[in-house]
Amino acid sequence: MTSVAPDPVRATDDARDGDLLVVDRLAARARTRQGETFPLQDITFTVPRNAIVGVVGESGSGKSLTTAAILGLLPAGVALTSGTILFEGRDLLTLPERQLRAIRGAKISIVFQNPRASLNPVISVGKQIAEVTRVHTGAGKREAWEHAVELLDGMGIRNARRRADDYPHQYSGGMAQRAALARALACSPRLLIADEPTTGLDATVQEDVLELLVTRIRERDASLLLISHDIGVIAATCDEVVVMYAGTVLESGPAGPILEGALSPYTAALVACFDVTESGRMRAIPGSTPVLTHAHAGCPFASRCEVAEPVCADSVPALEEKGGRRVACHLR
Amino acid sequence: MKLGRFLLKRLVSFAIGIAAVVVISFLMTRVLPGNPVYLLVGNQADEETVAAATKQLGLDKSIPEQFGVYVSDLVRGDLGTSYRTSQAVTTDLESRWPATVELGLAATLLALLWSLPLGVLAAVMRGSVVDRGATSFSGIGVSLPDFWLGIVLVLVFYSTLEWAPAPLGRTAGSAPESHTGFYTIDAIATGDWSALSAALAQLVLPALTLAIVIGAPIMRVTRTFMIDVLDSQYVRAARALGLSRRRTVLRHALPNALLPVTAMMATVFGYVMGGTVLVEYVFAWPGIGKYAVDSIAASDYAPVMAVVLISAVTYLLVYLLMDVVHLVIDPRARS
Amino acid sequence: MSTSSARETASVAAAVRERAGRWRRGTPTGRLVALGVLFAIVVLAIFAPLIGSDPEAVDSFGELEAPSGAHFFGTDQFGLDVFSRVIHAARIDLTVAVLASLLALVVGMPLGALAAYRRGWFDQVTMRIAESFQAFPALLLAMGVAAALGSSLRNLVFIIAIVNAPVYFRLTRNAVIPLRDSDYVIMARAAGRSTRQILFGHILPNVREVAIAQFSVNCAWAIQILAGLSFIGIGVRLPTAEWGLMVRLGTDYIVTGEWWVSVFPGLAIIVVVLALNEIADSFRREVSLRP
Repeated sequence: MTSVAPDPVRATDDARDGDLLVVDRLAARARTRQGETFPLQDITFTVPRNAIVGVVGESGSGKSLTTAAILGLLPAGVALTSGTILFEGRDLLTLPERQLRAIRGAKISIVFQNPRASLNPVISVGKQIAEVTRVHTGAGKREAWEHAVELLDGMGIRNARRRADDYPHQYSGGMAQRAALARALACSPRLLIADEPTTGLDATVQEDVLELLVTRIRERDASLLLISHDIGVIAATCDEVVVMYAGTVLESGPAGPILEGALSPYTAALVACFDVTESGRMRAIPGSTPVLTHAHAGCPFASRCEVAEPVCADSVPALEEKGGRRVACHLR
Repeated sequence: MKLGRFLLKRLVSFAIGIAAVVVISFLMTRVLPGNPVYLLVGNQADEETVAAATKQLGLDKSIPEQFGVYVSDLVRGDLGTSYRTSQAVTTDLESRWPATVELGLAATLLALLWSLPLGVLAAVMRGSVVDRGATSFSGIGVSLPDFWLGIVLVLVFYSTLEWAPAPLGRTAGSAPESHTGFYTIDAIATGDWSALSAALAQLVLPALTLAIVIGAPIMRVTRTFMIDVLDSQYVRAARALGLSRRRTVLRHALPNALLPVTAMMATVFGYVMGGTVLVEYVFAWPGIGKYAVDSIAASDYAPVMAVVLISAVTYLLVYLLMDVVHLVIDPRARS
Repeated sequence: MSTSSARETASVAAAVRERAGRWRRGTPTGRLVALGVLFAIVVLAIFAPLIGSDPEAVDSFGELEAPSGAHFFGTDQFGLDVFSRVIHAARIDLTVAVLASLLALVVGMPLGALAAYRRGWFDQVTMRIAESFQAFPALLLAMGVAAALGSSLRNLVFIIAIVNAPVYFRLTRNAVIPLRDSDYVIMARAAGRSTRQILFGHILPNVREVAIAQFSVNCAWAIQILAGLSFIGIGVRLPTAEWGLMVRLGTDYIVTGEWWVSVFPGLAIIVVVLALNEIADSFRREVSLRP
């Protein structure tokens, strides 16, 4: 994949005043039929201005729940137990619903996996984009519609005016994601969250959509929080990367150094999964992700780590500044 | 598939359905064990009548020939003769169908009026007291025998509270001038307000009985559909982009949830038709249902068979209609 | 009893208790309550002759008596004890319902599975036939067939089975369609298993919960149809006790105030149907919660 990432932005320890999003020590508890779980235990990362930050991790690591927390739309039965989420300096967790609604879609926006499922099947695509504009800017129907057509055109959809009247099922997967992107960027948000935006799309289309995503973000001077389980996607687009595992962050910082020389054994193992060995087979990390029925007693990856020592199971490693990044590991 | 081809396919399907239903009806009247003659002359007839009837009915002909006669009779509109009223069944039905349709429409309207909003509300307020109450109520509703409910409502609202009139059919006094056969419409058309209020008063209990029994399954289904839609990714996406709960429920969720409900309308129609049989009987409502019940009790089987066949045919018609309506309102169906 | 065999018995008893406890914890509450209610009614039905007085003993002096200690549910216009008749009626209603549903299941399920599995013209034709039967409203179809066949108890079972069979057919067909293309089936076919072996060995066991739920619903339906037919007068006849028939008997007395003759049998129907529906719902919920 061709890389569109510019020189990596240096990450520093302390949250700078200019940082767009600061997630600090986020923890959550979920009540399910089977009992209680702790899907988020200590999520800490930052998204600087004008940056593309990738979040990588296996399913169950807490990626999607974190985005739900950022938007203030946690599912029923899930509640945050501690932590803060600062957006442009304000703690989102203290804001009333009304203000959160003003932020969603306008300052912080999102595109999902499976774009056709994210669009209402019985409303035309143009109307759905226009609706977001109208709700946030109070623009008139006409104005909002024209804006929607412009956006669709800007996303590379030919015959945008005619296409705006079509329904989501009449769009191909790639086109639908472009339309979803148009809707998400309609009000020029400062931060766009993309949750597995290319998973499920045809391989040929994935690259195009990714490139479009990055270009549109850069030209708007916005930031992108890109969530994916695919390291290749992250490597090709991100300035910084956050590696999540079992509800915690194990490593975060500039993408290049981390992916080429990971300090956390988990990151190294993840990257190795994508290297094809001499025999031509992909590797897998042995074992399975832990069930999060209680708070971690030690490093969550200890049971699957090749270089684990006794101390790893005894205490939770803190996320510390080391080697130009932040890493949570007793042994590094 | 283009619209024209779809409609054609659907019409062929409809025709096949009608044919199948006619065959089944025929089989019920002719081929099943037990002397089919008795279906038409009743169990009490003597030997001569039976022999004459056998000849007259052409039962000495072969089955395929009999079927041919049956179908040609149907096409001519001959549904047999009622032993009890000594009239053609078609004539009997003509005078009775408005009563049934009036009751059916009133019941359906009432049913939708209570079940749709409650189903939506229960879904939106999932897990709350409202939801649990509504679910329990509908759970009981689907378990109620309609004939028993009618009797209980008469007991409560007529015998005890004396709010409703006696269950004596459509009129307690004067019927309005007959134009359409629908008492309510006729009364409004002629400005006969006392007849209107009388007609409505008589209509209340039977319509209410049916409305409760029919509305219960509708409420449950609406609730389920609505919950599915509220959990869907497009509704979550809409919320994530800043749309208010109210907006997402009304403009995004509701249209999607109500779409399958319209598809259900044909089934609802089937329920109504089945329900009117017993409810008409309980309230002495002079419609097709009561006609069928009175006939079967008197071993007069031609009317019964006619009503059975007609109910299936009208069901298929309504089903076809609903498919067309669905085509119009669901953008996904059009391509 | 020697001490060792006493200990054995004690440990077996403990094992049984443990198993029962696990079953009770694993079964949802609603289903437990419903099963309990049904069990109670079945017990009442089985022991009806011992519990209630003769359901057909006419008593000209005790006509239309209100509920009392002697007659829990009062008496009807023939002096018959309503309570006794209600529990005796349970025998008829439950037996007919179960037999009819079983018959419908035995006919409808294999046909549905076969149709889904075989596809082609067999599938199309049987689908059409099932759909056509379902175009008739249940009660009317039952009335038509009752008129054709006559309404002996045996025929009633048959009639209700006819009305219910298409439902099993479609249900099974819809459940089997996603299964027929599963990997297991493809492998089994490649290994040379016959259709019969595949159907009974793999496909049918997977539709178990759905079938149980549907059986429960169909029993509920069967009771309602039987009661409806008897109410009209073409189902069970006097002097046999049946809930719908009993409601019919009390209809004329509603306006004169003797409400108990109709109300109690109706309540019996409601209770049983509710329990059956709850069982069905609990199985359906279980299926839908599966990953």
